[in-house]
Amino acid sequence: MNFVEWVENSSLSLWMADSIWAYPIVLATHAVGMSIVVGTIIIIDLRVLGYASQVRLTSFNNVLIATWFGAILNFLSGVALFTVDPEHFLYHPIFWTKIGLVIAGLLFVYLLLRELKASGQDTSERIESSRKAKTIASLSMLLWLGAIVAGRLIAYVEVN
Amino acid sequence: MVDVLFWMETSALGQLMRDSVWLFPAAEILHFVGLSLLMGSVIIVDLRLLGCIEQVTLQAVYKFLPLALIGFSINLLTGVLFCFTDPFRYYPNFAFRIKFFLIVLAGLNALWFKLAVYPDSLKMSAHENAGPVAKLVALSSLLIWIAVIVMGRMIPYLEDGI
Repeated sequence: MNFVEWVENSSLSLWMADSIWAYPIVLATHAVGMSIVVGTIIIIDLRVLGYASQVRLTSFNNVLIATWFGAILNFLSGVALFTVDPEHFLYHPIFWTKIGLVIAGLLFVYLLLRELKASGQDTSERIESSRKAKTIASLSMLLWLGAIVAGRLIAYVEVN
Repeated sequence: MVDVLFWMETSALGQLMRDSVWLFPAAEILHFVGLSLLMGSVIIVDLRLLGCIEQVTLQAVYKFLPLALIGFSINLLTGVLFCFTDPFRYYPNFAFRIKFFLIVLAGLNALWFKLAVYPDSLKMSAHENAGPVAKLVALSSLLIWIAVIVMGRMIPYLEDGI
């Protein structure tokens, strides 16, 4: 049995196909998770770039818990959506572009947090973030915007 | 109402949206960016009101509110574009109607926030916790906006009601 067949015969895939409500509900969950992940990350990036500098960077610690919650939500809903048509996604270049951008986006969150800690800016108020932190934040926003663009285009770009 | 829908459908804007291959997906992408901006700002303000964020004044966190308005404006604009593209599809749609009602509810909740929470909260210190009314408004805001997103995504699947 190859990978595609294995996925198609999984109980998750069969459940997604069987239930009328499963697909739309999982899709809606994916949109909610996206808004949490991208929304909170954009807010943090803007703060690092100097927006609303009165807000301490430590204030974002619990916001990041929401970010991770959204990320887990979207990993799970994403896997469920993938099982509906594994062959379609497996050979869809835009899908892999999106996955690449999401992984890079998450890596940049990690890089940003590491840089803020290293430069001792994670607890201070009103202090300008380092040039490196600002660069990471700018690129992070671009990556997430790219992920949204790619995610939406999966539905529009036909393969084969 | 049928006259209005007919006018929207036959308008130059509606025609333009249907004729272009990329205008509709471009508007959809903007709609997703707008809702992320709105949700991000709403999350940080509501989490602070709920007491989940410490050591920051509400006044400082409110700096993110204009971003929520920008996000909402982007989505109002792109949402209108969708409606002009196919008004006879959206108007009777069950999910669309609930979504519309929820957005009005979110607006009333925002008004409640502005009148009952905002003025007093400006004077609060970084360690002060908001009152029960503020917490209720914040929780409602989070839940209503999540429901708005869910209903928006349900539009293609509730074409004929339930």
